[in-house]
Amino acid sequence: MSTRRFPLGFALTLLTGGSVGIAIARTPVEVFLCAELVTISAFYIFFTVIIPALRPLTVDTEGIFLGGVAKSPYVSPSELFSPGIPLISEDLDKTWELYYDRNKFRPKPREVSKKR
Amino acid sequence: MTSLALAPMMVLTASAVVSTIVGNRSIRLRNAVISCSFASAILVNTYFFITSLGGAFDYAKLGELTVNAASICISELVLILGFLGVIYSYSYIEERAETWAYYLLYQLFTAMMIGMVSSFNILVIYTFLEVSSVTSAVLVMFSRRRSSILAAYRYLALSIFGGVIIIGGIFYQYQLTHALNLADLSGLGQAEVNILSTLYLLGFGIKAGLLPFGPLWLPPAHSEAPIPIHTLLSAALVQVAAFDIARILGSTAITNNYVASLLLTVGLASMLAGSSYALVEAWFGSKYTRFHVGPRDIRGIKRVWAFSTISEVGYISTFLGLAGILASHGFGYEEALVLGFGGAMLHMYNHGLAKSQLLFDSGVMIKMGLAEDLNLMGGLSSRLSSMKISFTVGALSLGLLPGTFGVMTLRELVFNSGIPGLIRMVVIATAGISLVACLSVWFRAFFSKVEHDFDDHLSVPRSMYLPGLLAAGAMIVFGAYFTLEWVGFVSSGSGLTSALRILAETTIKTKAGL
Repeated sequence: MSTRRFPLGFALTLLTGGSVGIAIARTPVEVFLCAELVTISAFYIFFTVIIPALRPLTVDTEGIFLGGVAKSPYVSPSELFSPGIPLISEDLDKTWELYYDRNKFRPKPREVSKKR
Repeated sequence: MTSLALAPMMVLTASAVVSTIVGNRSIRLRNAVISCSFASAILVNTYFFITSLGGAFDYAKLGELTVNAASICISELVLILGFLGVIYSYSYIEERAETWAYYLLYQLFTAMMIGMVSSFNILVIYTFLEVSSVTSAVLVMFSRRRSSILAAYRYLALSIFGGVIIIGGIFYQYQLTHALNLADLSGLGQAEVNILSTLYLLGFGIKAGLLPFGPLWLPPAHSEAPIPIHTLLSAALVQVAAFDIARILGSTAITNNYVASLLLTVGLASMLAGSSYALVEAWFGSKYTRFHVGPRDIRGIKRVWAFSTISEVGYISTFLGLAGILASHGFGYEEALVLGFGGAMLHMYNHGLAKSQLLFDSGVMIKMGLAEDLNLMGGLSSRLSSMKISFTVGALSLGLLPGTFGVMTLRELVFNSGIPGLIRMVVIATAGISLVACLSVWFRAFFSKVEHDFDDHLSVPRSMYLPGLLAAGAMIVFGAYFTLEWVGFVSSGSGLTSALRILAETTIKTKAGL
C-alpha cells in the first residue's frame, strides 16, 4: 500500500475489524471493544475531514510569505493550499462548478465533454 | 440452513474485499464479482423473505445478530436499491485511481445497513450505525467538489453528535438493567423509559433526518453525494434508521403515551417542514431554504429530493406514533400494531422506490443538461422523451395518488375511519405540497425554455436509464395491485394483513406470535 493510501486503508481496517468483530462477539466486553474500535475510526475520519473542510477558500500567499518565496520555483500556492480530497487523495474536480454557475455554464460544449 | 439468512451481509463484506483485489487486474471482472454478489444476496434474502411471511422461517441467530421477517424485509429493500445503484455506478462513476475505494466502501456501506436491522442489541445497532456513517461520509466526497468535503464534515459532525447521545442512552440503560438487549426496556419504570426513549429518538432521529437536527446535515450531504450514494442515503439509510427507531421504541410506543406522542409530533412536524422546504427549494432555491454548503445559491434538483426525504421519514414516524395513540383510544393492540408498523413498512417501500426512481432519472437529466441547478435546467423534453413520462411515476407516488404505491399510505392515514382529523389534514397537505414540488421540478426540467443549445455529442449509457425504469415498473405493478385490492376488484384474502402482522410483530420481537 502506498503512503498516499495509508489513511484510508487504516480507517477501513479499523472499521472492518470492528464490524466483523461485533458480528461474532459473545460477551458484552467484546461488544464494547468492537464498538470502541469503530468509534475511534469515526473520530479519526472526522478529524481527517474537518481540516481540509474548514480551510479558507482563498489564501493570499504574498501576504504570508515575504521576500517573494511564495512563487515558483520555491513554492507553488496550489501545492500549499490545496490538500485535495481527504482520504481519497485526489484533486478537486473543478468541472463540477460548471453545473452550478450561470456565468460559466456551457463555455464550449466539446470542452466540457472532454473534461468529463 | 436457517443460518443462511445471515449470508447477505457476509457475502457483501467478502465481496468488498475480493472485488478490490480482482479490480487491480480487470475492471470487468470486478464489476462481475460485485454484480454476482448483489444478485446472490438478493436471491437468498428473497427466499427467506417469502418463507418468513409464509410462517416457515422464524429467525436465525449468530452471536448478537438476529435475522427475522422484519429485518429481512428491510434488507430486501436495501439490497435491491444497492444493486440498482451499483449498476448505475458502472456508468456514472469515472474510472480513476481511487475508484477501488468507491466500490469497496459502497459494498461495506450496504452490508452495514443490513447489520443495522439485524440485531436487538442496542450497542450492536449503534456500532453498525457508526460504520455506515463513516463509510457513507467518505462516499459523499466522491463528488470531488470542495462543497462535498464541507458536506461530509457536517454529516460526520452531526453523526458523532447523534452517536454521543445514543452512547449516553446505552450507558444509562446498562446502568439500569445490566443488559443491552431491547427486550429489557419493558421492565423499567415510566420515568426511565421516557428518558431513554427521548435519548434514542434524538440520536437515531438525527440519522433518520427527523426534526430538529435532520435539516442541518441531510440536504447538504445528500445533495453533494454522487447520485448512487444519494440514492442509498435517501432511499435506504434514512429508512433503516427509521426502522431502528421502530425496533428500539416500538414496544414502548404502543403502551406509553409519552413516547407515542413524541413520535407523532416529530413525525407530523417533519412531514410539513420537509415538504414545504422542498417546494420552496423547487420554486426559489437555497437563498430561502438555507442549509447549503456550495459556493453560491442554487435551486438544486438534488436538494429538492433531500428536503422531500425529511418529509417522507416524517410519515414513518407518524405511523409509529399513531400505533400507540390508536392502541390507547379503542383500537385493539394487534390492529394498532398492524396499522402503525405495517403501514410504516409499506411507506418505507413506497419512499424507497419512488425516491430512487426520481434520483436515478435526475442523474440522467444532470448528465444530459450539464446542470444541477434548476435555474440552468430545461428543454429536456425532446431529448429524454420517455423519461418525461416515467419521471412522473415517482412524483405521483410521493403524492400518494391511487394507482401508485403511495395509495396504501393514503388508505391507512386518510381513509381509515379511526384516524384523527388533524392527522388526516396534515397528511393531505403534505402529500399535496410534495406533489406540487415534484411536478415543479418535472415541468422546469423538461418543458421550460433554455437560452442555449444542447450538445448533440452528449449521450447517456443505457445502464443509467435501466434502474429508474425498473423502480418505476415496480411502483406501477404494486400500485395497481393495491388500488384494485382497495376498490375490491381483486382479493388478497387475509394474506396481506397476515404478512403485515408478521412484519409488525417481528419489528419489536424476535418471533411473531410470542
